[in-house]
Amino acid sequence: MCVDCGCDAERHDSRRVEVRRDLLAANDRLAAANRLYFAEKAILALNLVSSPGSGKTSILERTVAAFDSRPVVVIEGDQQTGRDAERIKAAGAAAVQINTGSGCHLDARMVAAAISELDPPAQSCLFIENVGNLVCPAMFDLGEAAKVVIISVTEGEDKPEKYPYMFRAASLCLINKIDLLPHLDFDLAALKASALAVNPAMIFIGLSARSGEGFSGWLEWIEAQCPVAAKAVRQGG
Amino acid sequence: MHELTLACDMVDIACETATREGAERVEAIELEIGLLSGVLAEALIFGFATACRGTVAEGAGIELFPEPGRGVCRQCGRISSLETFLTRCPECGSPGLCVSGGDCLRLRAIRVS
Repeated sequence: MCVDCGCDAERHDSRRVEVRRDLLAANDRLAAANRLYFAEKAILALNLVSSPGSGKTSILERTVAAFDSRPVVVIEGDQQTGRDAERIKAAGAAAVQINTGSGCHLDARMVAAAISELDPPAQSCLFIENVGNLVCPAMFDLGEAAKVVIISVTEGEDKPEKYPYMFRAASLCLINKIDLLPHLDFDLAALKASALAVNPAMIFIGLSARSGEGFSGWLEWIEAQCPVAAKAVRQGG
Repeated sequence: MHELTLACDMVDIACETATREGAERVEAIELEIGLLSGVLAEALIFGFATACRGTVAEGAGIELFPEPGRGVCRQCGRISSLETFLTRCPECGSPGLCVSGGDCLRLRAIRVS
């Protein structure tokens, strides 16, 4: 047995080099740089995540129209097409589209590039709409203040337990399409119990991007997050 | 699918280290992988086989060092083993334990020649 590494060869020329580096370290460093940029400009950055079709873009369209205390800017992530950014611009906010091609999530580098193109004003509210996917985006920090997970009432109540990484990573759960509740057998209490089982600190707001019901709670939540970003600047300065 | 991104990062770190060490090739990679890391080892290895092509890490073997999941109860503070995020505290039955181990994904060392 070799004295170097314990392998079966009698001797060899290879040697072991300690590395000790997290595979996500490169992304985390870029995310930290994004976070610092947001703090310096008192920008509130929120990372919106969900499965495809839960209504992320529709929620943002109504949010852009309704949230008037700060400028709103949007980064749109999709594998293909610039349609979502066009919808946001039509709703009245500056937007940049990121196309990931075959990629299944946004990463901190893509967001850094989008920020430099978007140049969001100080004290603005930046929404980052991630690629519709309840798995991969959970792992990649973009430098956001919080992840907001969206689930619609046409999905299964037990989704949080099926996709626990995402529901653990999020601070707020928006329950969309509640105007459809009278027509469905959806059990709201079961959804909340499923989410709380994986994340006891989860906060819930039910709303409808179509009717506008529940939006006041969402807008108040955003407003309440804003001072956190402003405070980070003072501490950093 | 995110495993391919992570496999590319693994190749980058291994190649960077090998170059810095003046080595010609990476023979093996030691990878610490937590059971709650959200990463499927098979998918990572599969992605690595593609991502390493044409680099000094091409053909390197991957040795896995699994780290079991551990959690701390937010209510009673009991530390226990955590197999999934749905595991409840064995002491008081509280859900949603804080992960205190098993979420790592770290390149521990490489073997170069």
